[in-house]
Amino acid sequence: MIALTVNGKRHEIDVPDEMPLLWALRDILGLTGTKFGCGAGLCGACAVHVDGSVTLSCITPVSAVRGKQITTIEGVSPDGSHPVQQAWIKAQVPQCGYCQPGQIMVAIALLEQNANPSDGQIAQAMGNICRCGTYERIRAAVRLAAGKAKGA
Amino acid sequence: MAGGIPELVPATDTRVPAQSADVPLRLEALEIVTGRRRYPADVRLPGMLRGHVLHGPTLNASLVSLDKRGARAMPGVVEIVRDGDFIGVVAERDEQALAAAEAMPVSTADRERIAHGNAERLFGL
Repeated sequence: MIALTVNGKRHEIDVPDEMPLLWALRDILGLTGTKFGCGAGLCGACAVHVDGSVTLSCITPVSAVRGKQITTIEGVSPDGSHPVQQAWIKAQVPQCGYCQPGQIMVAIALLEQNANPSDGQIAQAMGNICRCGTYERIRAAVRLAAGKAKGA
Repeated sequence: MAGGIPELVPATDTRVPAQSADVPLRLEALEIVTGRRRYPADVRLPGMLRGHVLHGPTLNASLVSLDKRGARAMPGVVEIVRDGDFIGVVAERDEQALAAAEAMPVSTADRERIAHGNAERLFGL
């Protein structure tokens, strides 16, 4: 049994130690907001927070996050009210939307570390791949959320 | 809600709001940014198996041989399908299909180079 805390809720799951966290979230806990993209930790679709840091769940064995605090897109807010989610809606970022949960998790971590990132810092931090090519709007949404975080 | 197919909304019940600064053009935007939007890979039905497709290393690669035996015996693997150059792995769970696909010895060879823009040959039509 592996104990882990996801979105504030403790779970004990009976899975192999090496099972990637992504599949424990999606298949065991039914949290399908975290996506499978490349399976190799390159695209960022599977990004979650582990103890507040961005972690690529497709290459992270569930045994490595034993006892840690995991936050998925479902745990960001119950109703989409988080400033980053609101900025994503307002800037009309999503097209197909498949990569956006991962993008949002990375953006939240960026803004927690740096409340007012420059465009260069945004570009550097937001390395997730979007096959629709929504990068311009992602940058606009991060700027928008940064303004909100400062109360602007 | 995990599992199940999203319900269709009758056309008479759908409303497209008048556009204004406060109304998102994308009606699904809230679902997307909360992770609630369901994609085909998110659907879970009782007894549903999961699959992973192996792609050749190049566009014009053909499949010379594959050794199914080891992968077929891996946990959760239900079937390995070969159809011409196509390989599909079927398993109880995604990560089992992925692990089997990655573990399978496959050898490929490049076909004659495909001329740029030759759609007939590119798509085997």
